[in-house]
Amino acid sequence: MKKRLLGTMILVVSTMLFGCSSKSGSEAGTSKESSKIVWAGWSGEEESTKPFINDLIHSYNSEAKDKVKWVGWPWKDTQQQLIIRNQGSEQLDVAQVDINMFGALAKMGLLEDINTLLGKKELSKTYEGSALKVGQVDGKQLGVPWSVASIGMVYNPTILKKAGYDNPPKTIAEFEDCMAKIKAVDPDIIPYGVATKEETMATDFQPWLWTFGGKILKNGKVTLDSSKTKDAMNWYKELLKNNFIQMNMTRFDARQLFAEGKLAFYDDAISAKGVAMQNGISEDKLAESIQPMERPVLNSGDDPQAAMWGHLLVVFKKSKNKEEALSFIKFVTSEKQALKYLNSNGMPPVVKSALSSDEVKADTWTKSWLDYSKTGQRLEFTVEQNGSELNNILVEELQGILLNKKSVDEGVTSASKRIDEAINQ
Amino acid sequence: MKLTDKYVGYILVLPAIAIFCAIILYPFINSIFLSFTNKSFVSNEFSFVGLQNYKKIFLSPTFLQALKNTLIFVFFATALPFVGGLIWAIFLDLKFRGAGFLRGATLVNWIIPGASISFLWAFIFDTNRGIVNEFLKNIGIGSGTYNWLGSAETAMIVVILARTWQMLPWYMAFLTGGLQSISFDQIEAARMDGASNWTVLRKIVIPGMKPIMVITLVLGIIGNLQHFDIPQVLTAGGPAGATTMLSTLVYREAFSSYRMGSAATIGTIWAILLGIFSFLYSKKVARD
Repeated sequence: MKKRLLGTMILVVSTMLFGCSSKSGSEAGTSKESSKIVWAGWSGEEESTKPFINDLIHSYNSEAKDKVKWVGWPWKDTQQQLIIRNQGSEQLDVAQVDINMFGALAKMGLLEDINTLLGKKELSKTYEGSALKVGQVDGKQLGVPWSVASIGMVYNPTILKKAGYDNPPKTIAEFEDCMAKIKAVDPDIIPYGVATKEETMATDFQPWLWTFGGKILKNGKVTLDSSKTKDAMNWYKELLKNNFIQMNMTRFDARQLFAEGKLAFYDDAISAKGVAMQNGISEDKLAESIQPMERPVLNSGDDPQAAMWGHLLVVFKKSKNKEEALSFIKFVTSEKQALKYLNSNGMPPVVKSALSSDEVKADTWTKSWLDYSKTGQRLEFTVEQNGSELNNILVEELQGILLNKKSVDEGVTSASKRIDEAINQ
Repeated sequence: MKLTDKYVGYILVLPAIAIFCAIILYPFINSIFLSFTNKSFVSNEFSFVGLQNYKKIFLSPTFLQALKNTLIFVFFATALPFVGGLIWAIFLDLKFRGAGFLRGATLVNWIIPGASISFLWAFIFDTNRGIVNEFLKNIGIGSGTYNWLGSAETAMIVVILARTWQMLPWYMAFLTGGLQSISFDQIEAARMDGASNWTVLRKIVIPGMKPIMVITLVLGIIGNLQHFDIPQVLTAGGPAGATTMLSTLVYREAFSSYRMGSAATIGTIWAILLGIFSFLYSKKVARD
């Protein structure tokens, strides 16, 4: 009896041990046995881009010998999950990263130099020069650009027309006047859906900070505590006081409200058009519902500011399939797939052959967007390993100022001190 | 060797001890050890820093605010569903037709995952489309655009309400068990002596339910001290840190700031707080 009991126990424990397996994120593609390359990211998880990603993987797997398997998470968890997967023993060959994640992963030394895999000449022959620069760190090509543009502003031409504006405002003074007129015409409309929650708040704030002439970092030193930063923050406070902006606004909220015609302006990536269609704006109403615009400047003649935005494809140092991963990257960024991505989601291509194609030249949305955001610069924390922490500090202090928990002077000094400590510890 | 009952007992308990050591004891001791180091999430190299993390944490306004927020949250998110659960349990104990169905229906809140509850309450209190603003506007209170989740004063209230809604059935279920253990004859006798409802509640029901009430409260406090998903999904700890709790702060330190040492320090302080209530709970259970 005792022996039978022990035998049963050993069987149960063994079954439990064999049954234990770890899986994280959602997985798609081929079965584990037949797939060789693991591709991770978030676009395969989002409704707007999921069909394209699935089609891309399917197309590749139907032709290539080395099959690809997708592993995905929501965008905001991707950086953390990539680090966890990299530290563990789970396979990870290629990943989709955005500019912010790219800086942190590059600093951690997790990424392979593509120059050594493909060669500088081949890269510069294939990809547009300014896009290639986005993936360079200390002379190494740690990322291959997939789609690069900027975070810009969009407006609703119908709402602006009602407020007496046939064209979007060019200066901050005009912008304020336009928002006041929108509010007067329809008090239910939120004039500007700038993000005031989560890390996106830091993304949206920085181009305005630059517009006022401020910078968070200069030559590695924190320069946030300046009169220009205070001007930018006072301006934000005025916007809130006048109900031109709203607290607790995320990019997701702004997109929804914009599609419902309850928002006149907001900041987004070039994919904003595709998102608007996804959110219910019909193709024939697009022109009168959403248009890109230059960010208003402080004084006429200033350069309009924009935050550089883009997705890159990276190969991990730990990958045992670097050559195969590179073949897959070439396929993803190829002219054929790039034009498909442009048509399905409005994502601009980076390979020279696609950029010079008639399809891209005829796409007025992409052309205007690229023109309006040509002065785009990298967000200031993108090259910091703890960029996410720095964004959180900026957001917390900005929210404190907007909610009158701190004066502008106190908030700016505190933000500056905390950012300095976080960078230098 | 003869397989005596004693040895069989040891062998049978061995897997449980091994599992406990592997998934609870080792991580716990490792976490305490990490709290004395500068271990980063992104690097395997680290050094011993003594009490530096603790000193930094206790001087950090962010930690002190998170501690204060946690205590406020734990107090109200335990007291409100407890009182609500007690009232609801007494009401359903009146055994009217449909009481059983209502009891079952109430449990639905408890089954719904925290993340879904967060989205539900974010929608209820949404500034532009929320039913609370719409209702207040219709009865003539406010302009219908109050920013509940965007205000430092009200964001915590919404978080507490969401948690209260989630946990009320749990308290109700526990307290119903306590109520049903009270002798009906005792209540009948008191009523014959002229005791009012209030007197019956004060003198018979509450004293009779005291053991279950204490256990429910201690378990509720432990659960709320550990709670993470509603504040994280509903407000992400904001605005301006108004709903940042120890649980969300540990997550941020570890996975956003990548400072495992610092996260382990907060975790250890948090575990001590939890330990106090766990000790009270164990003591109570042992005494009963």
